[in-house]
Amino acid sequence: MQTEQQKEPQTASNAVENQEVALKTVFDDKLNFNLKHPLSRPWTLWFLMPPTPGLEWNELQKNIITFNSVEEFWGIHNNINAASSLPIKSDYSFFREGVRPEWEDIHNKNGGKWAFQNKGRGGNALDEMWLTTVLSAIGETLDPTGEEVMGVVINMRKGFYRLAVWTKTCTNREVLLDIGNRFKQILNLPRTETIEFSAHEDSSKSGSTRAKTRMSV
Amino acid sequence: TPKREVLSGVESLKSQPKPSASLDSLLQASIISDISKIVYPSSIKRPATEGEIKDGKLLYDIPFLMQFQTYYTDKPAYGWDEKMKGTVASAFSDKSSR
Repeated sequence: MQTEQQKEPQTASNAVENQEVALKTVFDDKLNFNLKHPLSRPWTLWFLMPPTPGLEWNELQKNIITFNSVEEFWGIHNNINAASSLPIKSDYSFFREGVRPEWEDIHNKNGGKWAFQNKGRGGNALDEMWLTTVLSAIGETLDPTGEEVMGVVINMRKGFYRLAVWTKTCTNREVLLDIGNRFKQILNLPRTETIEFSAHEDSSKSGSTRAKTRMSV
Repeated sequence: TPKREVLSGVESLKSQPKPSASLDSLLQASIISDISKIVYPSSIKRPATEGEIKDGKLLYDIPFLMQFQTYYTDKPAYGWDEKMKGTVASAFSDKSSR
């Protein structure tokens, strides 16, 4: 059946298909573009709601949207509240599709995180750091292997915030140090400032702020 | 920077999604298969990571990605405001959680 169809002579519709269609990115025409920039893999935005009456702990983590193009990312970023205005005890996370931003997820349970913590709500400086962190993850410039980084997260807490990069392992030392250095550079931190790596296993045993540091850069 | 949508629940849940040319374009656009063949306006800086595909990964540097900020400002999906109302917006509008 297939072959018979393929043998048919050129028809009017074939001719139309062969006509040149002007290819336009969003830079050529904001309203009427027909090409978009794919990402290496789909990413999911999660929002951890602050404790809410009537919701169990495991109901607070909300899967907002999965996307796989640069244009979609900006549609999200331009239409969502800024990270610095997150309510206390809430998070934004961008994780690989299929990975929940939780220690218990099979992709995370042997992993760890690089974290930068600072006092206050962060303001514009935090919004900029969060944006560049997310862009480095989805643009694949944060992880030289493409295997380690599972996601990035901002935790807003009482009196401080924390930005973190979650990795699949906590043993792949050379690669993890590379990622830590890239993260520090992306955050544009002064050399005197350090960021620390801890294993999820240690964090889950001792509470997120008390985990022992396995590496720092 | 683009104006942020205020997700304060001002719009009615019943309001119909308005036709949006740029969102329609986003949903219908084809995926670029070879970025090296794309001709950008002269004001746009190409990815520094030209060659882009390394070990099967598409690399986009941060300055390249930042350029899109003012070019795609529409919603990422239909029903976005409604979706936000049940999740992000309700948390942001609840002062007691601050």
